[in-house]
Amino acid sequence: MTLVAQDPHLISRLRSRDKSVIDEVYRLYSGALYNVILKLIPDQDLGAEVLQDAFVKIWQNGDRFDPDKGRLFTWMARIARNSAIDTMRSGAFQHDQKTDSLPDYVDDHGAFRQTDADRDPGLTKVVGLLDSNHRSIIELLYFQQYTQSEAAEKLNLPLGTVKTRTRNALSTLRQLLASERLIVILIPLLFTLMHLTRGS
Amino acid sequence: MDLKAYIESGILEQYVLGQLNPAAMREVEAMAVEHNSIRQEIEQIENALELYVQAGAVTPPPGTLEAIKGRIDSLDVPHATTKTHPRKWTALLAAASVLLLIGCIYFWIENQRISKDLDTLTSSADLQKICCDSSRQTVDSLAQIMAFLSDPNTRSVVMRGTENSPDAQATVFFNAVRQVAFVNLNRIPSPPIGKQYQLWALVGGLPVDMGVLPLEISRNQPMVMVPFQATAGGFAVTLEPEGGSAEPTLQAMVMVGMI
Repeated sequence: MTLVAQDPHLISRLRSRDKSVIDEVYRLYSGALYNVILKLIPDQDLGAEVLQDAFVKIWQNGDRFDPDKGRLFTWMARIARNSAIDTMRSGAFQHDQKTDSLPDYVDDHGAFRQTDADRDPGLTKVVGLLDSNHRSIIELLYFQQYTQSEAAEKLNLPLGTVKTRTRNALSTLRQLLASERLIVILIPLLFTLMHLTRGS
Repeated sequence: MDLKAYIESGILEQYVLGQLNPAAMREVEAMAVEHNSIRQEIEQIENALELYVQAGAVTPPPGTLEAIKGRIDSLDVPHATTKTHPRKWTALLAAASVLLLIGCIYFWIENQRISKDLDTLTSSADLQKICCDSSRQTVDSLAQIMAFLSDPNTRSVVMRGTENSPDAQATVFFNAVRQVAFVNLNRIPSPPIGKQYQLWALVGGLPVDMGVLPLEISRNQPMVMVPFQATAGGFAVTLEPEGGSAEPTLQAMVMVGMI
């Protein structure tokens, strides 16, 4: 699965509460949003309930999404994360991850234990190439919603280092993804060329 | 502003990661609107994170989509029907009660007015009936008197005033066949208080009591029926103490007339 292009038709259907959009949003984003939720709530059943909550909220607030302020996924991921945090605070779920040790998967190099058949293997591979230090930063800041100061404390690093590492992590990720995309474009191109040369 | 330095400061990553306070977020958004390169940079960071999350995508348990659809459907349908219906009914009931109350008050006031009108009409009708009855009685008695007077067997005798009352005059009508007598009192003055006129028949020169005359004589119907005395040779009226006397007071004779 590669990056979903910002589809204006999809967004306008979501904003106008066209129910046919639910299937498409679910097909494109449910796996990623479930991923976001499971990082905070590892229980898969409870996580699936939170995913339902998140989709209902996405549906109810669809008209508030402003495409000028960012990507649809960024907005939906925020809703999913907030739904998970609401559940954690509700008392039904004892949230102790922030105060206790880091979750295992942060340091686990094979971080994607909760693997999925639908997942783009190329993408997984590329993300797997990311340095574990960089991955820890993204996991803490993006998924766990740590502040940079909290992350610095957690990782026992100076705040400045965390700031630099945040930017570096995302830059590296972008470079890796860009090269992956290049390969995706180049390989069919090479096949076509080989086919052409063989044919002539 | 040095856009390159701004981008390299890492603030855009913090923005996408939701690390900034609202004021700083608005600043970045303003910069993005102003500078296309910043906007593109933000998009790139968002794309990278989106791909990172997609790389870890996990298929939710089966039935999740159906559950979501069910919850979304239940957002509008049952709330609209179950909640608004009773409210609509109570509103209708309340409106109906108010209308009923207004109606009751209106009809009560109307009823009061109409029964008052009816009372007025009834009493006026009663008065009309009384009036009508008395008129008919008058007409009946006048018709009777008329028939009596026009009977060829009816005879009359005029009583003329004596020295006591020279202007008084009364006529006695009598009918031997019918055995009926009337006296017409149209020209006698009202009796003084405590006194009453008494009529006498003169039979063989002696007075026979024919009863006292009414204390008040109607102007419209001055004819008063009196007992019939077949052998009367004349009639006289005396002024007696109220209630009449057994024997006439001759000095108080007011009128006399002989057949």
